[in-house]
Amino acid sequence: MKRYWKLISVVLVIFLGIGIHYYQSATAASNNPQFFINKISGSSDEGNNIKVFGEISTTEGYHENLYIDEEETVYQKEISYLEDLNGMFFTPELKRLQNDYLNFMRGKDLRPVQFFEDETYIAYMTTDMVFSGENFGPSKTTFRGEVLDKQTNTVVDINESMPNQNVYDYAFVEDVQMINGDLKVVVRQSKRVVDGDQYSEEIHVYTFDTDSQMLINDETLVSETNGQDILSDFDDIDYQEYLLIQKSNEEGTDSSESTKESNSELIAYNFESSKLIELPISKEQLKYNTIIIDGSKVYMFKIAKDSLETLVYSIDEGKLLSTKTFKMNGLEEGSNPIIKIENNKLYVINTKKDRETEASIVVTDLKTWKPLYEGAIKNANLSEYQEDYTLHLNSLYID
Amino acid sequence: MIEVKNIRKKYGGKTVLEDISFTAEKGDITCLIGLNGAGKTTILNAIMGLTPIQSGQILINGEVLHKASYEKISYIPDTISMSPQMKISQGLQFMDDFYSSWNHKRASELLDFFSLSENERISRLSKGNIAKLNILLGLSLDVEFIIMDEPFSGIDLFSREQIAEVFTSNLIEDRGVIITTHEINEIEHLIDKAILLYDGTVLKEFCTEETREKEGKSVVDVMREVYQK
Amino acid sequence: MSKYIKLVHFEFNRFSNIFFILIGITIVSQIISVFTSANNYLGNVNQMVYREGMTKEQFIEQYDYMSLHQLTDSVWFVGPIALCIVTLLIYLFFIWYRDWFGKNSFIYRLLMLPTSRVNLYMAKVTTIMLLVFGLVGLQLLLLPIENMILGIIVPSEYTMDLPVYETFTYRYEFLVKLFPKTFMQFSVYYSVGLMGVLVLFTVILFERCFRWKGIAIGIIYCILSALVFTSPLIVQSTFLDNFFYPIELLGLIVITGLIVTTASIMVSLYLLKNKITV
Repeated sequence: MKRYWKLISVVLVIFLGIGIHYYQSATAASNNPQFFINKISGSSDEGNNIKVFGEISTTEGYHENLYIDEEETVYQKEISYLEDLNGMFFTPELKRLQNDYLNFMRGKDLRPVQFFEDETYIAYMTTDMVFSGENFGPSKTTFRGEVLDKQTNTVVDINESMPNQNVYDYAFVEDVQMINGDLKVVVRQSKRVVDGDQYSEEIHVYTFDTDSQMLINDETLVSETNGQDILSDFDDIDYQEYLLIQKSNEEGTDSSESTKESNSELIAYNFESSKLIELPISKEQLKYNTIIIDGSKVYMFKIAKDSLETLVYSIDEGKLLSTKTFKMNGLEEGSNPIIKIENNKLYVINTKKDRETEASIVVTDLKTWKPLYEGAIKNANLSEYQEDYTLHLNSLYID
Repeated sequence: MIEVKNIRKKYGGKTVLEDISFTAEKGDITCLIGLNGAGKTTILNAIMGLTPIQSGQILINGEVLHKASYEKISYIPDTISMSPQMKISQGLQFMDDFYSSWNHKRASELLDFFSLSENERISRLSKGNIAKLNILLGLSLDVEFIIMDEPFSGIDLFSREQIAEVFTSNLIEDRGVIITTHEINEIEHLIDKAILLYDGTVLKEFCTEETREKEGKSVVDVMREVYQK
Repeated sequence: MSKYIKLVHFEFNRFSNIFFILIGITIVSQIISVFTSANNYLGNVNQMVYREGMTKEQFIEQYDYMSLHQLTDSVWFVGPIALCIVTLLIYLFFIWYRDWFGKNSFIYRLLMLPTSRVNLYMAKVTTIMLLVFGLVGLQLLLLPIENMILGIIVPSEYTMDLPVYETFTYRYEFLVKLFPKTFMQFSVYYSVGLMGVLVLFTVILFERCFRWKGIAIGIIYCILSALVFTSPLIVQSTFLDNFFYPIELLGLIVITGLIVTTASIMVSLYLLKNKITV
């Protein structure tokens, strides 16, 4: 036994060195700042299904992705290697689809806008662009889509060439809807610069018949040299009544999100009727900071110090419905809060958060305009954490 | 009894051993005789499982070679069979660790007999001393068969005499011995069976005593006859 | 079982001199790196803060806190690691070839031991693993010691007490691979490394059995192993993109890894038992 001392000491070094090291790294995960959503007033039911996603950056230059809910903070790096391998930390809706429809979800681009789900169907569409190297843009663009009928568990494939594919530099799917068994796809495409022609970006709606698996319609909604914005909730995969587009046809647009130039119109496209409507909203009103659509109502928000002014326009009735202003602490002119409407509730989250400030969360019932819940994101372990950090909050998910 | 049956070996396209067969009985000293390149070492290596054969069979007491066989046969090759960085004492310890048939008393005796020092590093030994060490390692195992490859090659006269003395002692008596050499002078009188090899084949296999009595020929006589054809 | 341990003991001891020299060099060199890095840093502080009048905060903003992390820049720190790696890589070959070459024909003795040749093979594999993990363990034990020394030399307002396992992040890629942050990654990387060693051993044994022909076969075996191991990734990139979910891909790679490892062990043992020649 004595002879073996060298061997034994090496084995000891191995177990001690490696063991202690990884024991420490495994148990010290909470060296990160912890937060939680603290309820200030209102009903818990409205607060306990909120998950706020964002990233934290420290002075050392570390960036970590995380989400915060009423109970805890979960860092992306803490979710076990296996669970998060799919890289869908920020898109819980797609993760849910993947869990429930494993085979259908194979090989798909993971952009929520390319998906649609209702009780009957799950639909997906993407554009396959093949570059041959000769031209600037793709030589071939194909629409490739699948529609799953949840009840019969059958899948319909769609494989169609994009009309006039040679003329466009790129084509990206921006929304997918199923209307009466037809697949309607919103595509943003850029027309190629050819001597003399101006560069322009178009938004088309392509309609595919799932029985014949063919392209049956191609509508051009807008075609602008300065492009336009699609104002939808990009995380949403549900049915939308309207597609809301804001044109910005001013040269040299200031592209900061807090102001839109005058002359930018709002148009709405109804998926069911295929009608395109120009919304008669004044230039003054269009200067609002954030515009979103829910059902057939357009909500415009103007941010000022500690307050949020909301203007509601109904497309069905063709008129402005109301203006409400609410108090929201911590908001300033330059703020960029997260605003989301879901299930007839308005969620607003103030996104700046560091050691001193708390980020406030307000949930309002859109039918009564009464506040349902008010909370704030607080630090849980401030004293233990020595560095300065900034928390950037990006998106919201309602469980 | 060691039986070699029809073994055939190719090495790099050349047939090195062709249909070799012979037996070596326990209690006999069997000598493989042949020039360099006749295949003697290859046969011994094959018996010890140190090189593969393409066809044929080698049986030790009726069994195919397996790991326990090494407690029954000992091989003394014509090259060092212990790690040169070791001291002799460490080499002996190594043998003791792995072989249950190791007889350390006999090892000490042989150590004295050959005047080797335990603390000497193997890499520093002279050629003669290496040969002696090899023999010590081989003979200190209580085995049934001892195989030796050229135990006298390149050894000085006095060392040779010492080694030859070991042959006649009872260290060899009841064991089966296979030995190769091209210097048969020292041991001609000890050989019980001779196998004459040429170019990978067996030319003749005979019992020396029988041949001496019946035909009046010595081993060298037979050799002259067979090789000068 | 005990013959196996005796062989491991033997194989390990044959290399132990060089091994302990490597350990000595590593310890000495890395301790030196602590002193040189700290002194450089303090010299910088002296220059900037006391002579040129920078404030402490400005200094830290520009030059960062002193921590273990800074050490990884120093040649004295990384040098011994590189030396150990090169030495072990060479020994991967040498552990086999030393028994045949030079004045050495110890392979005779090894092959004639009354023990299964599986033990011979396993002893060499085990020894390599002990050497590799031994050095890794040494480094991981040295880090907190170096951290402590750093804390003594450099005043605390300039140091950041980095948790030891953060030392290797964000610097050299290869250091991060050698000393990964989680045990899961550690297991994956070193398992792949072990698989590589086993494939290499198989190639070496092909050479020892068949010489020149053996090298050719060995190279083919090597390429084949690589193809089998990475086949899920290859399939993934020729099929539609992302056909397999990452977790499935991981599972497949574990399987192909096991296949290559098992095949290498089985082929090596077959060669050692039936085709090896002195």
